[in-house]
Amino acid sequence: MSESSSKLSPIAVWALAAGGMVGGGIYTVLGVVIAVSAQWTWLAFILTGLIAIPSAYSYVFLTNKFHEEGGAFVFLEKVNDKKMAGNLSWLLIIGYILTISVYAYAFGHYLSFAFHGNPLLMRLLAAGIVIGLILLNLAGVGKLTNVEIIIVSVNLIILLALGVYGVINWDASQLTAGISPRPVWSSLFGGAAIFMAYEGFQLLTYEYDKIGNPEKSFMPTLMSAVIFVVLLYATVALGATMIGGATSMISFKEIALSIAAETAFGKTGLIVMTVAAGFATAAAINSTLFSTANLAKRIASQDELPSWFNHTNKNDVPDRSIIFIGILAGVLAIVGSLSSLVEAASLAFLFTFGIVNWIAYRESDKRKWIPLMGIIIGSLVGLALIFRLVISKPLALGGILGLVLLIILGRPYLLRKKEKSSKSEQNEN
Amino acid sequence: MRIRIFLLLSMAFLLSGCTSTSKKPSQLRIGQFLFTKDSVEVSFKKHGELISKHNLSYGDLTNYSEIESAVYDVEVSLNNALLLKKKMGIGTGGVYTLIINGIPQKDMKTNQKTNNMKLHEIVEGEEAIYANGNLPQMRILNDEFECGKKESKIRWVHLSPGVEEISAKAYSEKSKTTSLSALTYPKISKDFAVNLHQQEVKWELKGSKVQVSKRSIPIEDQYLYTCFLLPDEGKYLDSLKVVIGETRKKGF
Repeated sequence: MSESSSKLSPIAVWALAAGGMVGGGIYTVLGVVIAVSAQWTWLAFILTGLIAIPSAYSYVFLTNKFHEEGGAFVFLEKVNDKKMAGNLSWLLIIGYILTISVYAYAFGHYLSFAFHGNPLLMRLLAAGIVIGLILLNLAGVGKLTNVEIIIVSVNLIILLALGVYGVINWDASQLTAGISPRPVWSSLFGGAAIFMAYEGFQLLTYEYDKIGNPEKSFMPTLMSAVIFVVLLYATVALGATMIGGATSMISFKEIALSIAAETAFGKTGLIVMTVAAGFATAAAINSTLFSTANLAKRIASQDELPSWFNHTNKNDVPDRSIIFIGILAGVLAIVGSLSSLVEAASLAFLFTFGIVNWIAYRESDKRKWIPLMGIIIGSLVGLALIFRLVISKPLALGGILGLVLLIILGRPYLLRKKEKSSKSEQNEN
Repeated sequence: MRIRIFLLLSMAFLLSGCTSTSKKPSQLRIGQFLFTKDSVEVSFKKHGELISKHNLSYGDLTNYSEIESAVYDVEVSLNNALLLKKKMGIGTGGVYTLIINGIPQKDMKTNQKTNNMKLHEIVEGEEAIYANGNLPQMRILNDEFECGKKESKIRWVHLSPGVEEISAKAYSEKSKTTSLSALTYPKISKDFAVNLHQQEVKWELKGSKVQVSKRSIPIEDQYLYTCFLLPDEGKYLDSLKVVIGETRKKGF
């Protein structure tokens, strides 16, 4: 097979980018944002989409400029900010772990609901899917690009159909069913809480070397995928709420789309949505776990993580990274609450995207307004999220800040210690 | 290409064929749990026009009645003073309970709220369920639920201002004990599945063995039992009053 035929085509890149975002995002976050923004939920998705679009531009611009896969970590290395690259890479890995836990949480809830399961079954399913995918990755069959493309394409069609069906059956009273209407500014707080729903596109920058003719095709493909997802989220937010009613979307936020699908199409709708959610979240866990473990290995190989993470098994899979990341995410999925996991992950990605937009702003000579727009709206939404966490979850915010402090202070200490021990080993030899 | 166009047109045709123009009214009941001896007036207005008015005594839980989907101005008055006023949405085909709780104060303003409550409402919206200094408040509970065959659901709402965290247990002779979550005022528990046997439910102050209430509930198939735990007139803090609302499953 020729090299060009093994590369990802623009359609494959488009499907992986859109699917990477939708894979776990909308399934889990819809109820969270309706509680805050009510009839303005669609606007909350558009508003945060206005951070995702410039961020996607910045990611592609920088990846094309440096011609290297690796995302934010590589961008910072290339602009000679190695210290920040190290700090950000740790934060990014935490963000991915939180994201995997949200997807596992959603997987457990959607499947458990279909079988009238109890909380124990939900936890078993969440833990089971993570363990299953850890084993699959360790066996060296972690990245099944073609299977993933089929799954995400079917998933996108099902979500679009649900959203369009709801919008066709226009019923604005359902947007505030059983709740109080909210002011338009509430979309800022609603969007802030669920920004992680857009993070998936940047996993494609880790696959840069596999994309065919990236200089020409990557920008239009990724941008159109992100814009499509922004519009899809807004359509699903309107359509699903008009079917299920706002209060049910909030009461059953963990399985909001199953409720909407069952209301619209009965048992068939429930089955289709459960299958779609199950495959979509499993695919999202798999691709995030695979990419994060490889990122951890790469970071470790550049001495920004302990070399323990650099270990590979006989299948050339970063086994320790996969096991460590997977187990941590599985535990969080079992013990965490949906809102806390989603908000913590959102904060991590808002910060990361802000840094990427900043580098793109500095490195670009034209269209500087695009990353600048990402920085401005991202800062506004980031501040809104911090304010929300201060008021509603001060302990969770304290935990996040503690982790950030640990990264800033603990990482140099850990790496210095490692450097000293390797130097003393060299001296002994 | 032709096949794609055909598939897209078929999908659009199918979706448009599924549209329905009739809007089912919702079901609404009202629980008056504001701790006062006097009767409370609850009125629903749409575009300034009075739609319905209810005079309710403490502990009253009305039967479900039909209500058209719209955004209503809901007003709660006590002794001709307007205590609460809020816009509330009623959807299509929903099932709801409007609850009013808290302790009215003398010369209080309409919608009086603590600063803490105001901040929580800004950032959390509908999920801002806090004590508000035990001041009067109202909210709508979603009575839609999901359950399997030969099964029902039970949940409970802590509506006793000033009473600390309460835990609950449901048990019957023929099934194992179900521990319901511990709650603080004015939160609602999640729905718990129970078998179709008579359930003995008891509530205790969390961390102690002080029982504050006990009720026997005959469980029928496919019902949601909502236990509203209220202060008992004259025996406040020693024992609590339980009002039980039953909701038959309508399905989604």
